[in-house]
Amino acid sequence: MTEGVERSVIEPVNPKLNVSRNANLPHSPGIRVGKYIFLSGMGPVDPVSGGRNLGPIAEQIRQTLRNMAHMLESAGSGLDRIVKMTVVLADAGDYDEMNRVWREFFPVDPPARTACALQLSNGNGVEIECVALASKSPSWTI
Amino acid sequence: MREVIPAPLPGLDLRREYGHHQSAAIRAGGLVFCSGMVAIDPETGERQHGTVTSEARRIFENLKLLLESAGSSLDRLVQVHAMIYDRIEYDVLNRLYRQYVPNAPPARTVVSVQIEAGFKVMLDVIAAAETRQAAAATYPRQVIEVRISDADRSRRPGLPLSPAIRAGEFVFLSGLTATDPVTAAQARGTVAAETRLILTNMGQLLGAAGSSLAKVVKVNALIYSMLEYDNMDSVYREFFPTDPPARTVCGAGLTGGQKVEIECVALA
Repeated sequence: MTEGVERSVIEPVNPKLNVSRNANLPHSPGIRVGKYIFLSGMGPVDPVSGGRNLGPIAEQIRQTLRNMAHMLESAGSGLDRIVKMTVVLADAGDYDEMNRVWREFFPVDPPARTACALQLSNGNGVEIECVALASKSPSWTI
Repeated sequence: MREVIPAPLPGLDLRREYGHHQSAAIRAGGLVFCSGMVAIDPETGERQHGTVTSEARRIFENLKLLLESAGSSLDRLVQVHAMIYDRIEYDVLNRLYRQYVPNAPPARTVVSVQIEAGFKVMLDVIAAAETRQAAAATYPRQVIEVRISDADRSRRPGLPLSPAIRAGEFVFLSGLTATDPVTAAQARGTVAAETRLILTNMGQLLGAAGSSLAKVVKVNALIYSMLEYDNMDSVYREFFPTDPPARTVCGAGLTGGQKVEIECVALA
């Protein structure tokens, strides 16, 4: 019955940030489905070298969110179009630090969010995924 | 429109087999939300514990059946949360995983958590229903404002998240932890007590967003230990008496000393 939706792969303009392709991993950077974009979990990848950027946790989070902005903008969306984020921290003690960075990036009307603390690979301190609305539109309300 | 997708084979009905209070999948807004899938025999429901490889293969075969019965397929997976018992098996999972999604694979996040019943793998997926027409072009994003009494942890001053966002057909809620609806203070208690408070608050929050618990399509519940599963579940089922949402439960570290955190996606 009911409606179906289009599905397409989205990729970052900067190839250094295309982690799944560069490391030959079996996932896409993101999928656009109908009006939504679902991004894979992202980490602090350096946009120039493509390597890991494992500095202080606040800097890792900033780098990850900048990469996320690039990824979304590559698909005609943006951080201000994010609906829901899931944040995985390697250390639950970094929660307050994460919130400090969050306020820099989302000063008004931040996305819905769930955070938890889990084992992460490659020494990453943070991994972030999101669901965002696709293309910008002049009619969006907030 | 919220449509419950029944299990295509009797063994895949975890509600019947194991009393899990969840629907196999819910189709809504052009998407198919599946409950967390584990390695069970689709005919008999028997648990097939094995290696990461054997469990993941069983899971993909089960998902293929389930998605096809919901008008979708593995080719149309959108997002996968791959849960494995230990991060060290990441490459093992990938080797099998790529066989099932060789082209344009879904967005994915792999996390290491406690999985029910001693399984090594669980896949929590969202897929796109088959296309019949192109989607329209412009979509508003609306932050749901809540009254102070619509308690959730975002009432803690200055926490940089919105409790709920409406986008398209759906309302996406932040993970809720137990807070007192009057004082907005953290309310720590047993898993049962926290679950009850969270779901009560969730009902209010959804109401403020023009939705309701009956319109929830997918729930993700995190509890600090899977040993508390039944304590969460016994309360949970009171709140979703009929046609419960698709659901995934796992054991994970929570911030701030809470025992339970629950998020959901609901139809607006």
